[in-house]
Amino acid sequence: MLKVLVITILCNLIFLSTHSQAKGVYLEPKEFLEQAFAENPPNSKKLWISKELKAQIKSMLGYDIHVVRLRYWDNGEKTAWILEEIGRDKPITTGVVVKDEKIEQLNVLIFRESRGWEVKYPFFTDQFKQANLTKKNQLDRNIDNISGATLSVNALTKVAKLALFLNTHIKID
Amino acid sequence: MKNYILLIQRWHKKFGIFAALFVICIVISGIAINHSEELELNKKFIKTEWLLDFYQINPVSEPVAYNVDGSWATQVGKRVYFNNIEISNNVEKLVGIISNNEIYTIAYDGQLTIITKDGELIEHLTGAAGVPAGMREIGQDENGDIVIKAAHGYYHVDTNELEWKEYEYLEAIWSVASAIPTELYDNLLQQYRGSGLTIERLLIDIHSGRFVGSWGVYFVDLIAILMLFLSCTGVWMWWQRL
Repeated sequence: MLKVLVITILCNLIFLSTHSQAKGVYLEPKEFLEQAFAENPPNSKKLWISKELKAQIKSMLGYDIHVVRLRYWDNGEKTAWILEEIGRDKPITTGVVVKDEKIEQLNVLIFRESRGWEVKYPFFTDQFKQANLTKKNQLDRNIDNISGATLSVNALTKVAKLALFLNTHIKID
Repeated sequence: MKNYILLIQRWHKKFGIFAALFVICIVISGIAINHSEELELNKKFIKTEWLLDFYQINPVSEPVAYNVDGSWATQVGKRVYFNNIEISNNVEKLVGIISNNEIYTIAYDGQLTIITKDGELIEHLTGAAGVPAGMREIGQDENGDIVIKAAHGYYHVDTNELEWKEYEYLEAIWSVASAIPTELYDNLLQQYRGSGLTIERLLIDIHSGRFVGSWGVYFVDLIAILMLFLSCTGVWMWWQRL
C-alpha cells in the first residue's frame, strides 16, 4: 500500500514539474542581448523588408515575414536577431547570434505553446552551433528531431536559416 | 456445446452490426487525426454556426476598444484587432492606441505594434527594443510624440530610433476606452468565433466521444469493449471450426 502511494506521489510530481516547464519566458530578450554581447549590447539597427526580399524569403526558406521592419543588433563582430515563428499555434520567440556567417548561439526566449517545449534544452539548441547556410539555403547539417516536438523543431530550424540569410543580406547591402 | 456456439455466433453478429457504424466513425477520425499536421487540420477552422454555438465559442469577457482618428484597436477575448485585422491572439490586456501621421501604435502586454492605416504591419517592439514592463497607459504629448505610463515611471518614446527617455511625470492626452460600434463588434465577433474551433479539435472530440459530453466517453469505452468481445469471439469461432 505504501509503495503504491509513493509511486503515485512521484508520478504526480513528475507530471506537475514537466507541465510547469512547458510555457514561459526562458530568457528575457534583454538578458539574451547582454549575454550575446558580453553585457554591452550595441544599439539596434533597422532592416527594411522589401516586397522582393519578403518573396525571396518565402520561396527560399518557407518563412512568412509579416512585418516590414526588423531590428537587429550588430557590433561589427557579430549580429544578434530576435525572431518569431509559430510552432503549432503560437509564436516561439528565439534569439540567434551569428558570427563569421555561422550560428554562435541559439536560445529559445519565450515559449507559448503547451507542447514541444523540449526544444529549449541545450542538447537540442547546441546542434545549431557553427551551422551555416549551403548554397541552396539549407543548414549544412541535419538537426535531430525530438519526438512530439516536430513543429517546434521545424520552427527553430526555419528561424536559424532566416537569421543566417538575413545576416548575409545585411553584409551584402 | 452446439447451442453455446450458436449463441456466441448470434451475439457476435448483433454486436458486430451495432459496433460497425461507430467503428467506421472512429477509424476515419483516427486516421485524420494521425495526419493532422500534414492536412493542417489544426489550422483549418469550422464556420458552421450551430457547431460554434454547441461549443459555446464566444469571448468570456466584454470587448475593450480604443479609438483614434476613426481607427479602432479592440480586444475580444485574448485577440487584439486593428479595425478588422487581427494582430495578436495571445493578449492579456490591451492598453490603448495612438496615431501619428497615419502610423498607428498599439500598446498591449509589454509590446508595441506599429501598423499603417491600411493595416500593413511595420513592426512589433518588445522588451528587447526597450518597451517597459507594466505598461498602464499610452498617450501623446503636445507635439504628438508617444508617451507611456508604466509601472516604474513615464517614458517619452521615439519608436523609430528606439529612444526611451524616463521621467517621473509627463503630461499627455491618454488613450481611453470607448464604446465599440455595433457593426464593428459584430464583424469582430464573427471573426473571433470563426477562428475558435479547429477541425482537429472536433475530430478529437468525435474520436474520444467527448463531442456528446462525458457519457460519450463511456459510450466509446463500450464500443472498445465490444471490439474486444468481437475479436475474442471471432478468434474463438475460427478456432472451433479448425
